[in-house]
Formats: sequence, C-alpha cells, structure tokens
Amino acid sequence: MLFACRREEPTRWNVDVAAPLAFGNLSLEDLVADSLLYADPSGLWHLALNYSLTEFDVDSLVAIPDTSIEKIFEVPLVGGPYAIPPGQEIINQDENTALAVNNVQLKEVIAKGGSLEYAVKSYVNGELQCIYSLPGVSLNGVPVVIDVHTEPGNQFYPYELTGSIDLTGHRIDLTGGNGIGYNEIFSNLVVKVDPLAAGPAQVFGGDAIEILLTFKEPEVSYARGYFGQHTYDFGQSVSVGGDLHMPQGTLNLESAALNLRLTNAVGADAVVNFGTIRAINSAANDYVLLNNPEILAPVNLTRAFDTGNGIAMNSAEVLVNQNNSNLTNFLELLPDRLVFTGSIAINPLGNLTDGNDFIYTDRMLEAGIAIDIPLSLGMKDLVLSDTIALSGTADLVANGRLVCTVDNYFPFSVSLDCQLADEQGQVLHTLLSGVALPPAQITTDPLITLGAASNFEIPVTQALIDDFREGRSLILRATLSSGEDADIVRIYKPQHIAFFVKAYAETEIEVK
Amino acid sequence: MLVTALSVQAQLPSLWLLERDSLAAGNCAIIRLDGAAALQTTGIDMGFVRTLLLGGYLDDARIDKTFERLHEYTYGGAGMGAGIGLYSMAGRVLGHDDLGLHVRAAHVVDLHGSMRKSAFDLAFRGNAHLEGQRADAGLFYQQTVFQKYGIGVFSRSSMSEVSLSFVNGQSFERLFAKKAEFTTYEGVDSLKLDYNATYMSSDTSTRGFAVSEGQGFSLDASFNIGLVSITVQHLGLVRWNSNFETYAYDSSYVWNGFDISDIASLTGDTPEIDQRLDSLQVSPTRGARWLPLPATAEIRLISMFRKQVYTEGGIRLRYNLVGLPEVFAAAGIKPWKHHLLCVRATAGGYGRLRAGIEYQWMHPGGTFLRLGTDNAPGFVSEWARGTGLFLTFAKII
Repeated sequence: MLFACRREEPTRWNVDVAAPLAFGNLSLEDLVADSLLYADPSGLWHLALNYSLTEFDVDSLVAIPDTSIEKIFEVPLVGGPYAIPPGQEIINQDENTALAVNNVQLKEVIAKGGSLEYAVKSYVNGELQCIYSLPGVSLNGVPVVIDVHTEPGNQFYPYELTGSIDLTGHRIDLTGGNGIGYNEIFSNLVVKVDPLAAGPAQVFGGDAIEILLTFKEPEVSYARGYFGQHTYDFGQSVSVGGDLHMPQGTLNLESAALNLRLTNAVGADAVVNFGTIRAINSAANDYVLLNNPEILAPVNLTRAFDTGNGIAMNSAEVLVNQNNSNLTNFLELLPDRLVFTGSIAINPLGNLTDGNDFIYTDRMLEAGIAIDIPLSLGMKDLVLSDTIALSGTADLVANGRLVCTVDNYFPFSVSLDCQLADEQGQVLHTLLSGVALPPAQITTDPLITLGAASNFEIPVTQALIDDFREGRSLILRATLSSGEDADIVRIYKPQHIAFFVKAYAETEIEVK
Repeated sequence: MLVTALSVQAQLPSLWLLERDSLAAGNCAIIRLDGAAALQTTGIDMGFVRTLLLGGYLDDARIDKTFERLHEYTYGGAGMGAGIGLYSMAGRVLGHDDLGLHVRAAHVVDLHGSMRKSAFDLAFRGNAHLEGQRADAGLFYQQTVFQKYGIGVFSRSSMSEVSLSFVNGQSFERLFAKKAEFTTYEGVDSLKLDYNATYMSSDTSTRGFAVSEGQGFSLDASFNIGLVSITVQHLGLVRWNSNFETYAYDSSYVWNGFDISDIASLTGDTPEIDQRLDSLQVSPTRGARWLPLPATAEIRLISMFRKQVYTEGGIRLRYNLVGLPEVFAAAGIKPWKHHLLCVRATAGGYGRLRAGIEYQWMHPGGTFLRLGTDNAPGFVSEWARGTGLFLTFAKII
C-alpha cells in the first residue's frame, strides 16, 4: 500500500557532523612562486626578482614596410600588327628596383614571414609566356622565377593573372644588378610568344606587359648592411606585483642586490644611457630614485661578431647593492612598479664595418635586471593580501563552525583577517578579524624554531553559505610584524605554518 | 466442475476448511483472486517509514524517539503480491476421482533487511556525538521480484494441493555489509571506515514489470489434514542471467581532511579529493547465478468450540537471513452461519507482537470473501511498527 504511493517531496533530516576538513603546512614556497624564491646554502630564503626590458628591441631598424612595385614593359616595335610566331622573343629586359626603407642601407635580408604577391597584365593579342626572374630572391639557393602563360588581351581588356609566393626562409639580395648597391632588387623579364601557342601573336608597337609586385607584411629574421646612426629614447614601466602580490606596510631590509645586465647581440655598436630608475608605490603615491653613479653613466656596448657558427655577443654588467647605492631604501618603498627611462644610441662612431652591420631579430640588444633580496628583514604591519574570486555555489544546508589549530614556526607574528565581499566589494561577512598567530621562539640553531600554537573558530552560518556564490570574493589579509621596531629576523627554509581545520556542523540530508 | 484460485496468503482460508461442503457444492470451477501487502519492522514506526518513503521532514524529536526504541538490531520486511488461480472440478487426474487440476499466476515482491542501531544513529543523527567512539553500521537488504506461472493437482475433498511453477525473475538486489565500522577519533583528527560488504544486482540493463532477468522454478504445496494445514511456498531457485553483477568491498579508509599544503598563493583552486577514494571504486564480477526464492513454510491448527467459537494457531518460517520464526494465533466467532470474525495476534517474523483482525464470508451460492490485516494499529497510529492488508475473493463458476 505504501509502495503504491508516489513521493511528492524529498525526505529531509538534519545530522550533526564532525569531520576533519583540511590540514597542511604552509611554507614560503607555498605562498610565493618557485621562480621567485631560492634558499642559499645556509637555508636562508632569498627573493629573486627578474625583469626584462623589452623596449631595448631594435628590430625596427631593419623593418621593411609593405612595398608595391609596378613595372610596365613595352614591345620595342613601331606600328604593326606584326605576326610573331610561337617561341619568338618579344621583350628581354633587366631592372633594378629600390625598396622603400629609411635611413639604413641593407645589403641582405632573410625573411621569416610575409609574402610576395604578383599580378601580370598582358595587352598583347596573342598567347605569351612571361618569365620574370628575381635572381636575388632565393630559397635554399634556388632563385624565384615567376613563369606565367597569358591568354590574348587588348588595350581595353588586358588578360590578367595573379599569384603569391610565401617569403618565409627566402634570402633577398639587395645589392642590385652590380652587386655593390643596397636596398635594390634586381630582376629580369623575358616575354615571348608561347611556344605551345596555336598560331602567331598579332603584336603592335606599344603593346605592353605590366607587372605589379607587392611585398606584403615582410618579416625579417636577419639583415646585413649599414644601420646608420640613430638615437632612441625609451621609457618602460615594469610591474613588480603579478605573482608576488607586493605587500604594504613597513619593511626593513638588511641587504639587497640589483644586477643590471646588458647584452649586445647586434653587429652594431650601441651606447645605453639610463636617465632615471624609479621605484613607485602607487598606493602610497610615493617614489624613490635609484642613486648609483655607475648605473646612471653611459654604458658602452661593443658590437657583436658573426662567427659563422653563431654570434659572439658583448655584455656589460652593473652591480648595485646597499653599499654603493640607496637600493635598500629603494626596495623598502615596497614598489608596485619600476620605471626605467633613458636612450640608446646605435653606431655612435658611424659606419665602421663598411656596411656589414648585422642583426638576427631573435637575439638583439637585451637588458635585464635581477634583484636579490635575502629574507633577513624587519616588518611592521606588513600586509599581504589576496582576493579569491569564488566560482559556483555551495549547495549546502548547514550551520556550524570550523575549528582551526595553527602552529606558527615563523619568527614573526601574523594577524589574520578574512572577509566575504559582494560583487561591488562590500563586505558581507567577516570570517576572521585580527586573529593573532604569535611568533615562533628562536633557538640557537637558526634553522630550528619552536612553534607557537593558536586556536580559533570560524562560525559558518547558513547565511554565510548562501552568500558563497559566483561573482563574490574572499578577501584574505595577513599582517606581519617582527616587533615594534621592525626588528631584523631571518626566514629560513624549514620555517612554516602548520594548520588543521575540522568542521562541526548541523547539515541537512536530502533524499530525492 | 472447475475451481480457480490465487495464493498470496498461502493458507487455505479457514472457512473453506470449516465449510468445505458449501464450496464444493458448485458444478465446474472455482476462480480465486488474492492480494496482499504488508510492511513490518521491529523498531521503526510507520510515521517514520511513511516520511522516509513519501517525503517530508524528519524532525530531531522523532529521530531521537525512534532511536531510543531501537534494539541492537532492527529487522524489517515488506511484501506485496497479487495473483489469480483456477481450480477445475471436472474430470479425473491420475485415475483418482478426488484429484483435480489447477493453474495459477502470481506476481510477488519480497523485501527484507536488517540494520545495526549504530547504522541508524550515523545515518539520521550524524557522528558529532560519537567523538572517540566506533560505530558498527552493518546492514543487510534484499529485494526479489518475480512472477510465477504454475500448474498442479489438488484434492477436491481436502483442498490440499501441489503445484510446480515456472518462475520469471524480474529483479534481484542484495547489499550485505558484514562490517562497516565507522570511527570518529578523539578530537575529530580523523575518521576511519572499515568495511567488508557485498552488493549484488541482477541485470541492470532491463527494468520494468515482468521483464526477464532470470528463470527458475518453484514448488508450492499445501496439505490440509483435518483442521491442520501445512504449507510450503516459493520453494525454488532462479538462475539470474549472465549480466548478474557482484561487487565485493573489503578495505579500510582513513580521512584526515584535504591536504592543501601544495596550494600556492591561495589561488582558490578546489583541492582534489584524495586519490585513495578511488579504492572505493570496485569493478564488478559478472556471471549467471542460481539463487533461492524467498521460501516460507507454515503450520496451522484450527479448532472450533460449540460450533461458534473459532481458534487457530501456528508458526511461519522464512528462508532468509533476517526473518525470525513467526507465531500467530487467532480467536473468533461465527456469529452467523457462513460468517467468521476473528482477532489475530502475531509475533516474530519482521516485527514484535501485533494485533490484527479478519473477516471471512462464504455465500452458499459459491462466493467467498476474506479481508484482514495482521497489524490493525498500523492503519490508525503512526507509532505502529507495521501495517498490512490481505484480501481473498473466490467464486464458483
């Protein structure tokens, strides 16, 4: 009888559940990306920040713009019509065509992309064979030859034929027909009556063949020539945040090092002149200029040499630390940006190579800075914060609490705050407010600290669970302090926070 | 003369024995229809079961009260059946004038199970109050659904009968958790589950009324010697087909929480459930299997005093892991000729002592009706631990 009835609603009841929820150890490795952290032989953590200054790229020197070349070749006859038999040559003409590049004298280029598009128009009343040779444009030593067969045309309705050649990997000789010029492409056009034509072509004097060549989006992988004398200003802003989530508060650094490395892989001399290097804390609306005479002096970078098997590069390094600069003050600002300004001069002494400067565009003038900060530091109210975007919803009916046990093995205190915010950033719930984790006790062995235990609870209400949904965010904040005077403490690899979280909750079971 | 019958309640109705002349007065056949449904537990009341099955909210008070009433083991069973039978009074069988042929068809659903008190505690009250304790959540559950199509002989004089049936196995399911120990360690530092269980299921690719997932046979017999009846029902086997699946679980799992040490920078990634949970995934073994039907055996003794006071008593045995021997007794009167009204008392089986009521009426023209229940309070009280109804209708045609 009971089984004959249909279920009209789910069966629900509440159970009181107690379960371990999560555990683990959080070391600095877990909080900071591996690429930003290393331990020295003593076990002391170092923060390693590396940035590339991409504004130093000089491939624009040898960039070839889109270029269209239109050539008209006329039949060298007068009057007509002349019946020209199959196989008879009508035009045979050489040409040098200049590429529109500015302020450089290129002799040779190898392309890594782009195309050569061509269009052939015949106004001749006959079937023709047009052989347009570009002996200076070759792929693996084989010159480009455009060999097309045209149908009869006339002055009003020319016969037109188009095509395209992928330039990737092509070597382009820009020394022209005599082999000593620059920025010139040599070509040869032969037009004859198609040997396979059914009959003779009817040719008038003044009949023409038009050829339109277009270099479309050519990309250069290698160039040789004289690159000229140029001076570029640069200004680049580098974000220091990103993976690190730069903190706010008071930081007291014992030491730090900044290594500026400049490498010249271009076959042209260069001089780099840093005008300013500025650390900016946007939140505090403050900045500090790096003050080091060496790094602010012109840095000469001798040209690289092409050995045939590779490039022999030349480098210059400038090492800045707390002894020769204000680097610790520079970094204690807790910058979110570093801004570099200055200039680069190419070939400051002119054409010293008789037009044999070179560039491989995958290796050019490179600049990078490496900042090394030993985590021997003092902190006062140093705030690390992160915002976690929530995804999905918690389909759960429960009321209870999370019981957390934490052992802090770091030699500094931590104050934890956690809030749930809505889509507009308004705080809906405060999960943790100033929960204090006292510092570990330091022993005579710097690698061993005695953990300090803390216990606290996080109430988990149904209202809180209901507010955990997509679009909302969890704001986490940890405030670090190593004493009232930001006393110097050292952070070693074994130090960590051990935690264990268990849940006590009344939750609803639903059987549908 | 033809007689027809169905038997879900295996016994021959007592009034048939007491007034067999009336029944046999017909000419050709008796057609008999039976239907029965029953649900019985040793500890869980009908209000609770009703909410569990039909939906609704089980409040803490009801759960706690039910829990307090439970003994270490709780047994339960349910059954439903309907059938039709035809008893032929014409002709001779095997050269005996007293023997007749009968055919029958029936649909039977049998469910039974048992549960440790701790299993109920964990399922309905949680584990928060079990900190530092181990709960044994062992349980057993079996469901068999089948149809029978039988032919047999019966005695016109005693209405004793023997039949052999072809059985169509519709579905079979069994969960047997011999061990399911759930430990909540002190301080809730970890949870541990030790389990040793077997789950069986017939072909899951087909479901529905009268689908065939197995075939077998059943022997049913009822002997009436004077006012003593001995009945055997569903004595047989079914060979479930090659898609029959058996899952065996025997392992131990400890839960310490998610290890989230590797979550760098608290990026909000969802921690993956410990790979050890994979150990809960067990591949089944498949293959045809012979399994017995839920057979029952029963002895009943009827007696009359002064032609008006009726009594009966007996015992019923079930061939399964759960059902205890069930004893029953009834007392009643025949207020008028052809009418029997009695009250029943039953103990054992899937329940404790319960009271029932039954009415039988046999019209001299050849119509018979029986209506009753083994557990009358189940119709009016949600605190009763069972309910049920049985109905028999027969007519001489």
